[in-house]
Amino acid sequence: MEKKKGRTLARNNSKARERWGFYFCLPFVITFLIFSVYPVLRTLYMSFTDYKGYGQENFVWFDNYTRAFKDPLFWDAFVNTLKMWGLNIVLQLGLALLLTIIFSDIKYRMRGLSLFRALFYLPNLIACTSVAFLFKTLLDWKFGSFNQILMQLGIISEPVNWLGYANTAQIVVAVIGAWMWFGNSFIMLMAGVQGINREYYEAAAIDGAGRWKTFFSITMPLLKPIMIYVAITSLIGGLQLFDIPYLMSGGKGDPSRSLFTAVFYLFNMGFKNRQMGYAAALAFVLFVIIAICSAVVFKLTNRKEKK
Amino acid sequence: MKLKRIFTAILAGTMALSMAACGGNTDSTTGSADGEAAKPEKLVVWTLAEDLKDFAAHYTEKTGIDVEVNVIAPADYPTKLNTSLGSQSDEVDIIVGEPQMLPDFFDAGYFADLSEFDSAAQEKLVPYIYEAGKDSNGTLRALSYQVTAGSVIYRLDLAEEVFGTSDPEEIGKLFSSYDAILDTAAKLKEKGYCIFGDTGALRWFANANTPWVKDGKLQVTEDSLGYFDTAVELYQKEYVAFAPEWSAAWYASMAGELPVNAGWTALEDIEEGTPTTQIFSYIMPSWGAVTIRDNAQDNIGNFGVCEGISSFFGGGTFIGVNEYSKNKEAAKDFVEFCTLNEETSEWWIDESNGDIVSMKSVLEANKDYENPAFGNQKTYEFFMKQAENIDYSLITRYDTEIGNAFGTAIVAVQNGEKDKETALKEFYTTVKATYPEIEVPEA
Repeated sequence: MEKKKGRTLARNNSKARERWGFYFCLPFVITFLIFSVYPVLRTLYMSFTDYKGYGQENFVWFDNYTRAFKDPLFWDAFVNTLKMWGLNIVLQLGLALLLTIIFSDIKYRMRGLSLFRALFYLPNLIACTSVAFLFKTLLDWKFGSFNQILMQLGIISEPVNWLGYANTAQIVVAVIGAWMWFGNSFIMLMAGVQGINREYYEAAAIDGAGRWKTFFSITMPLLKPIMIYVAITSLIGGLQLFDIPYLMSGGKGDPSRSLFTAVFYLFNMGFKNRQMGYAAALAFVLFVIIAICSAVVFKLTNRKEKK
Repeated sequence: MKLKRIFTAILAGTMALSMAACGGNTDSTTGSADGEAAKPEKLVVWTLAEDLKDFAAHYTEKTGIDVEVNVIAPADYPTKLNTSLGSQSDEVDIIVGEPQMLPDFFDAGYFADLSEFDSAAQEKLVPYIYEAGKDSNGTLRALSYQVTAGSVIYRLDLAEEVFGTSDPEEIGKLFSSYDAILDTAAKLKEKGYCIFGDTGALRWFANANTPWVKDGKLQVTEDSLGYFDTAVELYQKEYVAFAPEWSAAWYASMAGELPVNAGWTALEDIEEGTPTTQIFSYIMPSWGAVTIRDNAQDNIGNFGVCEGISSFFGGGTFIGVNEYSKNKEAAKDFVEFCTLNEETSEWWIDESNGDIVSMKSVLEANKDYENPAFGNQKTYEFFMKQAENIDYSLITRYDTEIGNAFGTAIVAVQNGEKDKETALKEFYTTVKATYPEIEVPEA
């Protein structure tokens, strides 16, 4: 009898402990419901209405989504985003890879990895507003330092209006993005390199493999999953590109709307043109695109694990 | 067990508080109509410019009622107002808006009915101010203490040197059409001067006689196309100084010489030895005249004002009462004090050192005032006439975005990136995509 009572008590204690677990989770759950779940559901609801940010909201069902798929400006903005991200990721990964080659070479034995890692990461810590202001000043058409240097080196004879033409303005944004983020990619790639078993390198050295052979036959294949991960997470972030193009164009998206990104466009729709319902629909279209990209990441990662 | 109870109580309290915080404003409208205190402790104002701080101090001096004025940047103002008043908050009593913001704010129901001032406003104020303050049903909801009629402000010395006269009537003829403006610019260029700081100066005349949108259709008229072509020609022939409005070089030009092609560069960053020029004219609303006067330094008194292609106005602070305020009557008293009180209007002319007020009787009383900053020209008389000519039906809620899109098209042609046809086609596409309800010539 006493044994049974003891078991019941133990079970009750265990249940009580479980309940405490729930209590401890509550603050997070409540915050999450209020600040994450509710805004998402509210945005979804808004996307089916003609809400302007004030006044009444009437159901228009899928009208906003139909409009989004037919809106040439939204898709132009999306293409702009892809162009800027595309160049950015090539530069960002290229530079990070180059640095990884240098720092991972067992023969070079480069010193000061921790210091350089911190230095390369620094641009990531500067506020976007400061970065935009810095580059706008450097790239000033008539009197900017960048043009002055190029002219003194004899590379150009006339100052170039970098931010005045669609193509150059997009290149500038891509370069800024690469400069800000290459440190982050470098850290991830270096972490990947450090995770590679040193025995592979020793075996390659014994077999007489050269520096480049070792890199292309050992380092690169083993780094591939990390590189795919960096590229695709960067795509997810890149599709949400907003701050630098917004600041560089003074909120106008010019020249020739070339700096309008998808998020910049939906921001303008919602907060400048007061078409919150449509902006919410655009946000969900973007959400779907980003979700597909995320699914690709998971699929690629899982495939690797199965192998 | 005790600890558990305390913990549960804290959690329940936190939840209750967060729910209360979310729904705290729901019953804020209840106190608005009746049972109001005759004299509130404090009135709260949200505004776009510093002006109302002076009005508030003057009001406190006269009535003893404290007025807290919060100045919010124009770019952030609509969002702040929509966020707060969208949830029917009573945290602010007096709100404002610029003319292009007012139709949306009126539709949203943020501005309380000011019909009790209707007849006084119609009788006392310049007609376009009264028109701008009414909603689509004709109910008065906002009023302004100032008129912001526009003018061409020109340099008297350069006018004498290049055209042999500085008479406003004669100089006005040089700005009477786009062709005249191009001729004027060419003559100034011959003497080494620039007609404007930047081609954007002409934007005020883009819809001089027709609104951008009429009967649901986009109107691209001779006026707007004339603006397009003239802006491109002025740019490509380098008739302007390439100093955009509000840039350091543009401010510097009011006192005399400025470096050519300065753009937005700070003056200290411009290389020594850069060629300089002088700007002949500025096209701006009446507050621009005050800006020029305040930056003219030794050049003060060396400016005149004349009419351009058409009368226009830009900006201006319209004051109203928050529909959800608990101090509506007191707030209405403040609005009346600022906009319909002759003594305040006279006071504001002195206090602002030259703002153009909206009260007809005060403008009339000051019409013979010879303004030393503008070569002793009778500027009140001039702006009064301009204000009377303003056709408020030319203003639509679409103007800001359509104007920006048109500007983008012009810049693309100026830079040589696109031809006019392509740029206009893209402009139509932009308007159609932004406002699907507007019919455009082609998209």
